[in-house]
Amino acid sequence: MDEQERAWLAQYLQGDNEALGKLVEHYRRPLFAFILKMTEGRADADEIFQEVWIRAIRNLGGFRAENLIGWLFRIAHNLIIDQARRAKPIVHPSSRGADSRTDWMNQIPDSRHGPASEAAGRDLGSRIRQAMRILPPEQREVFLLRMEGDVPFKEIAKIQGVSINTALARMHYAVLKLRQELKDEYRTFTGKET
Amino acid sequence: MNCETTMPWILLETSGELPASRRADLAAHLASCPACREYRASLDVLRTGTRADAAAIPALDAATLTTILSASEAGRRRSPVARPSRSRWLDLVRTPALAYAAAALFAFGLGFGITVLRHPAGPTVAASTAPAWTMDEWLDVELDLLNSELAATSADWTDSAGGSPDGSVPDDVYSDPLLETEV
Repeated sequence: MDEQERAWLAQYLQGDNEALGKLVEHYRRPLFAFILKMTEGRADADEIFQEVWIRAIRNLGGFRAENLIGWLFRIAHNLIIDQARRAKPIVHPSSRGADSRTDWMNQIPDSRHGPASEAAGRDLGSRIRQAMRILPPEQREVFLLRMEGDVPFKEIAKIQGVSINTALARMHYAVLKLRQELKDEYRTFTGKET
Repeated sequence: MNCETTMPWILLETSGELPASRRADLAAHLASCPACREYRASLDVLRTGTRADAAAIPALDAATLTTILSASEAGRRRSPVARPSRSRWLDLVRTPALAYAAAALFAFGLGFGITVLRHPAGPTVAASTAPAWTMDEWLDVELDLLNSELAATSADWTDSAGGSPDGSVPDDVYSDPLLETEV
């Protein structure tokens, strides 16, 4: 956690609810992207995100670990598995007809061969998103935790309940498969063969 | 040293977890191995692409944020003062002065209890001397139980998955005692 994150957490624990809003927004991109990609844009991604925070809030008073985002990812991991096993969405009384995310995976433009490097990065990103569908869930999760959340392998191993060697092996296989799947895009992006 | 050994080191280097004792070996291998340099470069490309894509995720639904903040407010109403964690209380008890005070109180309570038991005609002491739990403490216990349950389901899920594409590669493919102890 950096200084700003610590400050927001301290302010929240002192009673400042706005600081919680800042933390939620601050972690939104990596956490929400992780949930969306692990659930393949399922309609209950919003509800899972919401539930992660509600469960975290209950225990924030006693939070002592250094890595808040790692803890949030761990709660998200448990919820995603739980939901997949029960195969029904979390429904809160306040929930809308949350179908706006259903097609998220297909909503982002999928154009290729953009002229600027930024556009090329986005194109590559959309291809990575599609290619990730071939990965087994446990490999996809390791890849996303590293790439989206910058979660250390030691923490990933704890989240998945495996040894650090297994977490490393999963990442390695995910990278090899994605490189193979994306070799054309990779060549376009870097000008090199894989 | 071969590439099979080096590639997990490259992964650990990107996460800042590579033990210092391995860094020189890794640098030496990278200097002489184009395949491993390419592997490391591909991690950067995949990260750049993944993050560029993540930047395009939809904004958080306002209702979702409202629900989270409302849940927080509701929690504060149940427990308006920030509750010190149990570990902090334990830290306090570990200080000698407070430990003596706690011991003295315990001894006084014990003596009082014995006195009451020896004088049944005295004031009746109700059996309900167990400390009352706050709502937050109950919620903590509930969350702990839930997390234990979810961890068990996680174990089911990961055990069947294995560490390789086809499950045929042993779990200790990257077995390196130094990594396990130093990371």
